[in-house]
Amino acid sequence: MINSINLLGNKIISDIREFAYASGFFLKTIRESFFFIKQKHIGYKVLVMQILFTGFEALNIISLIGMSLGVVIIVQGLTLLPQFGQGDLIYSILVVVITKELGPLLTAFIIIARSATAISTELGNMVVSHEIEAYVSVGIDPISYLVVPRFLGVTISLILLNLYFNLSGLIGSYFVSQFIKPVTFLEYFRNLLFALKPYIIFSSIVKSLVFGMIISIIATYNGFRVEGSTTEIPQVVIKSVGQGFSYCIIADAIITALNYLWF
Amino acid sequence: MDELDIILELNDVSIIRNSKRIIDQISLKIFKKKTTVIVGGLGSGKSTLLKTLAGIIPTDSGKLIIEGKSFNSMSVSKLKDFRKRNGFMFQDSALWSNKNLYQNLSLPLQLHFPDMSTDEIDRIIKKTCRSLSIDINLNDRPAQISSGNRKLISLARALITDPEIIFIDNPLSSLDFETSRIIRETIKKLKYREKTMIICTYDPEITSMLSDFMIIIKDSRVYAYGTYNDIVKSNDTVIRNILSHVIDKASNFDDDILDLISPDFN
Repeated sequence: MINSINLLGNKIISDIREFAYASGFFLKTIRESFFFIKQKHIGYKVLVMQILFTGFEALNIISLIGMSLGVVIIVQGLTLLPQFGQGDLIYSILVVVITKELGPLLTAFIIIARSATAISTELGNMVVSHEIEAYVSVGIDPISYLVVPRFLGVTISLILLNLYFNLSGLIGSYFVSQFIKPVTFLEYFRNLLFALKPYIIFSSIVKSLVFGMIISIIATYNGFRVEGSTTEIPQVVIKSVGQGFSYCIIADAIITALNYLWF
Repeated sequence: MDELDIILELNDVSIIRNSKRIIDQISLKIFKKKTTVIVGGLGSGKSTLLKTLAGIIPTDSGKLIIEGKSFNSMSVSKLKDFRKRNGFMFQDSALWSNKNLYQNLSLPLQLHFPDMSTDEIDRIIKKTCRSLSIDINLNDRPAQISSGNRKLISLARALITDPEIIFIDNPLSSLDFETSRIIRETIKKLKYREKTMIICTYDPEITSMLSDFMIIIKDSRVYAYGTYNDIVKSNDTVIRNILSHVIDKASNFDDDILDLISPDFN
């Protein structure tokens, strides 16, 4: 009995410590991000490379998934909704599903699968091979040189990829709609813009921003949690993926709830 | 000993990992322009002690004091100045694998001398490589070169800013004869130039020829600490046993002095 209480106590203490450490890590990253933006920083190249990897190299898969989603919604919507006399609702559904809900979330999932795993693996390997210590030894703060460019790179990329996902989804749905219920390009986009309220765009950008911050912090934090063995690297990668999905979905639910309360 | 300038000091420092004390309540002083050699058995905590002295591993208790100031309360600019004045050669080289060799050498210069021109950076890198007989393509990545060359590049990176304090962790482990010779000669030249050096090594030549002070580590604690002459004269069996692995029995102290003052070191 006393043993169980001891174990529980140790677990609680270690969880509190971990939470405090993670909070400190997050706050320092935010603080260093401001310095990074303000100063001429040697980490700019790392930032550019991160945007190239996370943003540019993911364009193909993002456009493919965005277009496919647009096609699915338009096909289902144009076949089902007119049966209930609600054919015009298709534009609102397109905007709500693609722009407001699934756009930011699916983009985040793709980035977790592509970039969060890569970041955790890379940083974990750097810890094992003492490269992080080498950075410290020459006077480079690992947070400002390794974490901040990845934090900014992933967050910026996620916002841009979300916009790209929206464009792909909405344009893809237009082309497919021509086979089912042809409308002119102008009419399609007029209806779409009418359904696209400013708060929806705002909500979508806020989600991307928050997801980007969550994914990059989780990936870098877990990468640094490796202590000295390469066998720990797959474990932290799995953690990054699991935590990334979970926290993004929780954040999505909170932002959506707040959105309905405010607007 | 106390008449010498103290550059680094550990006060009752402990490092704890997974509830195990890797460094256990260590207190010691490192003197300016002197060479201190850390010796001890495998897993005794030598490398951790070296990294703690360099401020790379934070202490769990106790204090690291750099020129009279506590490391933990140093301002960012003072800390940057300290980093600029020291170089660290890692046991496993620890070169940045996502950068080529040239970038590995140029990064410390770009960081500490932001106004330095690319031509000047290039000149310093070439000069440092020449002094270490490095004759390889600097556009290669660390994974593309031999472990000996990686070790040389690691030493070059540690020396690129011409630091005052140099930390060297097992410089000659798993090296061929020629690379060992180059590193030994370089360390001798640094000694001649009165650099402060803290070296973890098993090498008899470096230990017997270059050390002014010795630290004997056993079971994560300082077992003995003093001048080289005092330590080698000790009759303690534990010290004798540890020293038997590192002191070159063939070395002659007078010869060593002659070596050091020879014009070859200029």
